[in-house]
Amino acid sequence: MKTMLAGAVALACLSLLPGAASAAAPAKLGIGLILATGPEADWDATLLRDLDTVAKAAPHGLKITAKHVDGVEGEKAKDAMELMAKSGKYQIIWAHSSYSDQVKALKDKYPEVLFVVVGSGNEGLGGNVYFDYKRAHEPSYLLGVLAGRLTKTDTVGVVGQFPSEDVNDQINAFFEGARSVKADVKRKVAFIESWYDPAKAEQFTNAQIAAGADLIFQLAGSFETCEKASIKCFGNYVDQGARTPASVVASSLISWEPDLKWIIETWYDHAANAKPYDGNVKEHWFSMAEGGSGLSGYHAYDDKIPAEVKTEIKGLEGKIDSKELVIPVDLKVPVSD
Amino acid sequence: MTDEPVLSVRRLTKSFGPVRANNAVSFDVGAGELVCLFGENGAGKSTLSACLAGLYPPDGGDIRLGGAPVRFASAADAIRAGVALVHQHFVLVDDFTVLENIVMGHERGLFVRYQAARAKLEALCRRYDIAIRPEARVGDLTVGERQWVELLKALYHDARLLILDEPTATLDLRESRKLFRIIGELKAEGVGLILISHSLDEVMQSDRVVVLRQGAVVGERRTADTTPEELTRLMVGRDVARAERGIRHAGRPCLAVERLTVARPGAAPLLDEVSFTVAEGEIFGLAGVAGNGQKPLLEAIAGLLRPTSGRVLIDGEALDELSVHAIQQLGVGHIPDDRLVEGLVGEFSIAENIALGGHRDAFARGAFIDRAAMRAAARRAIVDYQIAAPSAATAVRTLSGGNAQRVVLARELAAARRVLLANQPTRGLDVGVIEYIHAQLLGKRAAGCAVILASSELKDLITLSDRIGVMFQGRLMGIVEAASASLEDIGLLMAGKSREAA
Amino acid sequence: MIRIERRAATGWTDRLLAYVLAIAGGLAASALLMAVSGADVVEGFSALAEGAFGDTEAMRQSLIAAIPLAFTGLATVAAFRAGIWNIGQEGQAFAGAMAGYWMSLQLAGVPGAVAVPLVLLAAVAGGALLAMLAAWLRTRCAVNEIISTMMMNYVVVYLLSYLLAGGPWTEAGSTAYHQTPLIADSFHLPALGGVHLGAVLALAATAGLAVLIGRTPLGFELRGLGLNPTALRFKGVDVGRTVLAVMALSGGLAALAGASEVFGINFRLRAGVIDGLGYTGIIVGMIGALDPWGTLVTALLFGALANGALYMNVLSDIPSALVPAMQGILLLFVLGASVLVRYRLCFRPVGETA
Repeated sequence: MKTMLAGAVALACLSLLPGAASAAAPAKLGIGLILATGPEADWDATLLRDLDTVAKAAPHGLKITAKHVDGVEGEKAKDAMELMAKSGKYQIIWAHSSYSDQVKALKDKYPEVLFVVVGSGNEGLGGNVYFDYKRAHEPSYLLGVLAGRLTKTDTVGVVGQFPSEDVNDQINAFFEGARSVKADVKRKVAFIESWYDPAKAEQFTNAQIAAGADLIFQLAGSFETCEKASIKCFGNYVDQGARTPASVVASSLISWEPDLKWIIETWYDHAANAKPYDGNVKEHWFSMAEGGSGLSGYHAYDDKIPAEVKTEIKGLEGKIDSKELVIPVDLKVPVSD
Repeated sequence: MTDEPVLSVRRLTKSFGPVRANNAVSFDVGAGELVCLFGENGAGKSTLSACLAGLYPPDGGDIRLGGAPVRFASAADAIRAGVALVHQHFVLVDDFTVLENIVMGHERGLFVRYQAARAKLEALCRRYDIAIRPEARVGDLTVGERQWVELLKALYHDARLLILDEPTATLDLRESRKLFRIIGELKAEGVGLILISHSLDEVMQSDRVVVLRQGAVVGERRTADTTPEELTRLMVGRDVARAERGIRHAGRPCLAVERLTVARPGAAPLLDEVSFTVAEGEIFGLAGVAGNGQKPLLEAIAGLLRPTSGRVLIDGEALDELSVHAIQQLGVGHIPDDRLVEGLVGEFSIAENIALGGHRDAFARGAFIDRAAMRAAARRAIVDYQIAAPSAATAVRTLSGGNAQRVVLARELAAARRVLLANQPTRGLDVGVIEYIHAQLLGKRAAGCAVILASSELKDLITLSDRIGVMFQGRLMGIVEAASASLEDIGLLMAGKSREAA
Repeated sequence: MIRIERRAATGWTDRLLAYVLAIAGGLAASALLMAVSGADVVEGFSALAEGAFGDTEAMRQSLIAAIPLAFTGLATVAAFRAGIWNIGQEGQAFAGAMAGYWMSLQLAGVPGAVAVPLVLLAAVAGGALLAMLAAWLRTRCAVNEIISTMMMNYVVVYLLSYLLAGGPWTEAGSTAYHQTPLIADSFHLPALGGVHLGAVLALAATAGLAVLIGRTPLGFELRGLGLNPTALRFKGVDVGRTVLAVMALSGGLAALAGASEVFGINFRLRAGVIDGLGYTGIIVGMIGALDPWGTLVTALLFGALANGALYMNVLSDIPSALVPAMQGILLLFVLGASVLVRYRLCFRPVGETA
């Protein structure tokens, strides 16, 4: 009892010594997020969602606080990042889109800040800049297989945002999956040329329906349009089936948890153990097996999809996870048949 | 019928900033009575009628309708109370049909009852013998026809008091007569009428004349007890002398129009083989009912309208393919009939309007506008043409009609070194200004200019012109010597009867 | 009863006062919103002020944000004063950036003193040509310029997208995105005191446009065209040619917005950095009362507001969603003031005898 009390007192004293313990073990972490759109876009919403989860888990007992700046590009994004870095409140600045031009201008001025650039349009800068990537081509392939099995018109469509490479890889994998089970399936693809524009997404979806597509991979999120036209579609990034059960069969999912954990660990190693930053020059992404992406459940369609199709998908998922089946990353701009 | 007058106005006052547009105006209009408001441009007639029709709130005074005091918050209020104003400037929507224009703003409930409205409109047209189709698009109507639409709008709402602001300005003689016939019928029905007119002939057809000068009533006469001369004296506050026409200087031919034709696809040609010459120092009058080719003829000479065939020559030089600007540079001045639309930029200053057209030549210095020259020319014009304006920087839209027309005159008379085209230069203006303009036209004639004057005032044409050409449906029906012409001769030609047939 | 009347004229002091009051009102309403949402109002506003004009760095950022808005605002002034409803500033800004970029590809290795003027010239020509196409459609085929310029906004953006998405201008590499490679240093607009040449150009363009509108024959025709094209035609002005010239002017100015964004700060061409400049420019021009100097001041104000909002977002604990809401409130107040400057509300009890 006495020793325990003494131990407790000693611990309490330790925690009062600022230099000793906290230099080795930081207690707080501020993460500044630079978003090209904001919470209305799934790309950004999933990050905020997963950061919340990670913060609640409090790795290393860290009190993690976050702040996001929405809808900034170019010079404005640079100004925002610099403000964050200057304020000293943010140890990690997570630039959640193509911001490497701006990060390049700041990285050496703020060497203690860990910068993350995410997705296509970035370059690996090394040093205190880490280059995170998201590939959801594996679940997209599975959705393609599902589409190939379910289409009655033998035409499948995709409404994408921009023809950028982390969109192209998904679309190509989706078509690849569809063709793997139905070699002559017709492919329709359109880009709305925006990361978020519901009105345009609706127009393009309607155009694809008119072109005969009865299954549409909605990267641009116009599910109500599918519902109105009574056709089926697939969601992207988040589990849309939970929101719009009448039209969404399944969704490819992304998770930023492994990415966030990787970056927080890296920063912690630097802050607590003085390990120098060594940012990756080539983009880094977490596979489906590593939890970077995944396939959702079928929700309302669970009992409408033939059992053998479900079994087939399940089997393919296992093969991808065990690397028995490797889905190629195909970056060329997809075109309609 | 009660003894109360339909309208009773007492000490009505309305100011715009420092300007007293109406100063303690009082007058009555009885049932079945036609009262004429007579006065120069800017005397306050239009303001007074706008106050009566609910367009402006008066600053002070009383308006009583049938003895009951009224205060209109809007034109719709006034219409509900039975006061209708037939505007001088049309307030119609071009893309709407006649019927839509008439019911517009007075729909009740969610749906317009077009069937009932059409029936009522057609009944009105029959009763007053007005030939307008309810389905016609207003944009397709002639100016004269639009005037009838404005009148129908007023009749449609069962007005007790009808205010007619220069209703005949756009009507030809025959239609003007028809209007006065309708006015007679309305009088018989007990409607009170107010007529604003500059034409003494029309003024003399009223029952009573209220003369306004500078916003105040300067006299009231029973028409039967007065003369045009007395009314004119009251209006201008002095005697008016008619300009005397000098002796004709028979010069050599200056302007020649040869077989000029302007065809339109799917319609009668605007101009059909028109040929004539005008000599230096000659005023060539153009008579004709409005819309028979006078305007296209002047515009074709000015280069605004491309002829399909035929040509125009000035001093033997053909104007083929010359731009409007190049023709003006040859010494052609053009006074268009719609001065606010075609002649002037309302928001521009007097100086800028004087410079318009010459802004790349006489009023340019290097790459810039020569503002000093522009202002100097405007100041000269203000003096020479007696334009009542505070300065050369005054916006033309704030000027009265007569003063605005003086700005056009100043510019165009200076431009007209060889040829002057004048289309209805005195329309809607008061006697003082008309006299002034007539004198200016005669001055141009004396200076050796070839003048073409188109006018709906036959008397003026006969007084001013040396010869008169009469137009009908785009054709020149005949040319008469003004000195020996009779109104009857010209009237027949205007109605499309050539002299041989007559 | 309430009536709306048009004001005869409003002096510039009254106008300034109206806008200052509008901004004050907008800030007060924003404060209320912040207080209701439980945020720290003082902290929020001090961050806003700091970002708008807190120090030289903030002012530099505000100024840079204002430059493209000044150009698209001036483009609005040029067209709208002539009564030509060019709403294609967006597309013309893109066209300018694209033409400038195309020129930079032709001039590889040419020194900056030659390359920069040529790039800017090409940009102006690109924007002007696009705008002239709309002018030509209007004068020759009677196509409403609102529709044609609006449609061209889309056409240009899609053309750029084609060029950037696997087309000839696409950046090579495995992580490519819809953007070009970085532009070589020799094409960068030279900077003076941390602010690129665009600031000087914007100032020059403002002065130039003011002189052009007020003092030159073309400006005379431009104003006349907006007020009464018929009278111009009757006085021998070739209205079609004037429309063409005005649209070229407007398109050229808008093009400089795109070029200055690409060659002044971003150094590569991509859609996102030009997006919205044209439409905001229309608002800037309107609030600037379609006057060149008023528009320049408005653009500076917009730049300061945008930067202040950014500071507020980053430095204060105001929820991120409140910042755009606040910008919206301020804009509404300022737009309201711009209406009040031109019209007045008259309150008059019904039935009162004056």
